[in-house]
Amino acid sequence: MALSESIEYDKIEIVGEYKLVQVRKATVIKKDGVELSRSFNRFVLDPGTLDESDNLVENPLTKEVDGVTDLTDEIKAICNAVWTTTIKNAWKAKLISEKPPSS
Amino acid sequence: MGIYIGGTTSANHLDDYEEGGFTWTMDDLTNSPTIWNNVGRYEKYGRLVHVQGHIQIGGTKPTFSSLSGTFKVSGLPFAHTDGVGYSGGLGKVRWSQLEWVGSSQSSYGHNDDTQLSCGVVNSTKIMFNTCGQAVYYVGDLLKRAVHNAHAWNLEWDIWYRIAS
Repeated sequence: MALSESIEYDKIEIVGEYKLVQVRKATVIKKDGVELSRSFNRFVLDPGTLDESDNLVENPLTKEVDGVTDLTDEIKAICNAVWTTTIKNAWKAKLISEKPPSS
Repeated sequence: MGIYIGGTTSANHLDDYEEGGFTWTMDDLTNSPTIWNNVGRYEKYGRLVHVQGHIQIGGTKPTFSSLSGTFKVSGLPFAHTDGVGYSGGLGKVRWSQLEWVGSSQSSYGHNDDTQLSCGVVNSTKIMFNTCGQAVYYVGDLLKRAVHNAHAWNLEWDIWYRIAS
């Protein structure tokens, strides 16, 4: 009898007009090669954040949102493919539009 | 796949259920704080997502480069795309040991029974809104409230809508 645990990125979706990359990470437990259970963790990647001067600080695409796990090359490639300059500029404009009014 | 409830149009179609977990991260951190609890759980019912979150700080407190900006946590499991109002969904929050400092209550609350609610911003983040009993401002919880002072605790619960 052999138990094994593996990680599968079993859903990578491109969502909405800003092409956010939504990832489902499955932890799969198998016994003698037969799947016993599959549990999910998720995260979403966006093109970046604003700095204090409203410049877009692009997502460095090094880590998952947990800040610990390295991003896979497949996910990096998808992000780089869909986050065009047009998308990045639109995302930046959205972030600026969502800033709270200064008090 | 899925089921139709109360009709056969797309508005009656429930095609997905999923549950799982995720990890929260605080935006703009400049250190690696001790985090006793970091819990994110979700259930997805079609286009509606329910999320519970919990962050509790331990010995090393979080520090931020700028204290004046809005405190945000990242990690939502699905991108929010379809809300109403200024916050994409509104949720309840329980807090303790936040730092209510300063003479002005505007934007970051007050130590007099301040209530917090939470909302979704920037599609993937949670932010917190303040409203105090003796204060007529409603503002954003700023980073100064969670910066390098206490072993604070935040718990929240929110529903929000997604594209599919």
